[in-house]
Amino acid sequence: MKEIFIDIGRCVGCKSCELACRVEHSRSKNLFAALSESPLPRRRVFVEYGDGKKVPLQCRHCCEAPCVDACISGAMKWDSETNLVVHDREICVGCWMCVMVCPFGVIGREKDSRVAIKCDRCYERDEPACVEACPTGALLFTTLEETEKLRRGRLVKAL
Amino acid sequence: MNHVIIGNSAAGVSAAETIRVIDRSSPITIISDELHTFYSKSLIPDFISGKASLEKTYLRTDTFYKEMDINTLFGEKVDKVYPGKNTLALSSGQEIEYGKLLVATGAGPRVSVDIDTGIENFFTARTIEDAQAVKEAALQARRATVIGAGLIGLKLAAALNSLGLEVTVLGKYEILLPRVMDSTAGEILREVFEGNGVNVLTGVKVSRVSSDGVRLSDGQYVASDMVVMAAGVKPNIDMLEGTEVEIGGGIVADSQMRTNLEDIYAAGDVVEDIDFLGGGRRFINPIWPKAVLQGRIAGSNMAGIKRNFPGSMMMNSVQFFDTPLISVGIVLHEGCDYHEEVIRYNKKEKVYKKLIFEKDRLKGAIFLGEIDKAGVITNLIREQRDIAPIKERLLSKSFGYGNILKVPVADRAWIV
Repeated sequence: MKEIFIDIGRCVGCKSCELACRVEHSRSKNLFAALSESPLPRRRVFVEYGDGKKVPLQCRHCCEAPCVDACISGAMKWDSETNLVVHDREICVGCWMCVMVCPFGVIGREKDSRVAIKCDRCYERDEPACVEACPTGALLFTTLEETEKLRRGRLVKAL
Repeated sequence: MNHVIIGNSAAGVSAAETIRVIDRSSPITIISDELHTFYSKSLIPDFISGKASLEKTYLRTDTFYKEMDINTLFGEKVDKVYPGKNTLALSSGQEIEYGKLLVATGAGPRVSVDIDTGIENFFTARTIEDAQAVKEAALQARRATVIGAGLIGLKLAAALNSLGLEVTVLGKYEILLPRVMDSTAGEILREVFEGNGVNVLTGVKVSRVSSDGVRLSDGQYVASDMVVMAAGVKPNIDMLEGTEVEIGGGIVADSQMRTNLEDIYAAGDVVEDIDFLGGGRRFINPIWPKAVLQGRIAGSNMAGIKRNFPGSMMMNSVQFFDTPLISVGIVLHEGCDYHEEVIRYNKKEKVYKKLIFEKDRLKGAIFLGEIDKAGVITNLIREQRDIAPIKERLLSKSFGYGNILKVPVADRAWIV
């Protein structure tokens, strides 16, 4: 199963991922047309700055996710077929329990329509838009096994 | 093993689902005195306001119980539990045997005021049936009074206000949401309510509820066509009366959610928790996420897989009109050696953010108006991490997960 991995040292904070995420979640799926949409399409990935590092962060699709446990309306659900935490905006009532418990702080709010908003891992695409847009390889869409292989390889090289 | 669960809400259903994942074949029975399938009690104010239809409050499909192979006894009240015989008696006279029993009966409204006998316009709002009655009454009424300025009381007041009623909220303490807000936040909230046309009377005591209004102990009379009571809850434990099950403010359970009796477990609002943030405070913590988690822990242990509940702490999130608010952990700390830092306060914009510390641990937080990334703080409170290295950043406007990320082995590791 593929997941989004983050190679922390590689992010330069260009925010290409944020832009691609907005375009992917726009009505037109086109950058120039998206610019004139109202409301402007929102991002689900956030480049965080801290401790001299930049981290592109989106929903981690946790197992036993706190947001799913906390959801009072059943809008936030674990989909056992795709292993994704999915959010149904039609059911969401905007109580923000998910915002309160998400340890990564990656659940946003659509204030006007009063619904939560989060990464859907671009389930309609082969590769999530943020990963495709990342020019430095800070975001990877791969399996845990492959990631571990890569990581071990690097550690060995560094010895 | 024959599993019997009393209660068909967050804790009960979470336990049943957990047992079923671990054990495909053992019989599971859920008993509930309500007729409805699993619905969200937290959505009751939204149901009253019309924001959520009855269907929308249902949290599982019609075929859920069948698919999970769960027997249901709905509309059945449990009269008494007989721990010596491992049985329980239903008020219909039926006797049910159990191998393991989970008491997940929740907490009902506490009615602590004097009410004229026989009046028909006094309500509580703990079940969907209650809510339906409130909804119907609201169609006829012009003025409504809500007794209780806690979360449920205020949610109900906002719901009735949205239906066009003239609403008065009566609070026992001076501030709104006395358990989860401080006086600054309470004042902003009062303005939010008053600005939206809700009358707020705090520091008042109700002396009597009559069919045409509420008499306060200071002599004031609040005329109203309907009265809704939402001032505190009490655990539903009647069926355990006369048994050996240890009861404090609620059912006392260990970290595996087991009571002092071998085969009886408890989870959710019916349990008396100990505040794990310290002080040894015992309390009923009637919040949805805790009930789901305790149900899962109880279910797992009932099915033979040992798991521990990590501990209970107060937290809640809600939006009143256009103002969202989140309160986590210990926010009122009189008599404790805590200190607090106000990060932002803008009365006009209705924004207030505050963190509460005990030395280098975070103990509580209030977010009003601006709540983004609150979960990162919640998690720091839950983990009781030493925040000394990041304390300055905690207070900055751009604080986020990036600030607390632990990067192992220089820059060479990854996070999932």
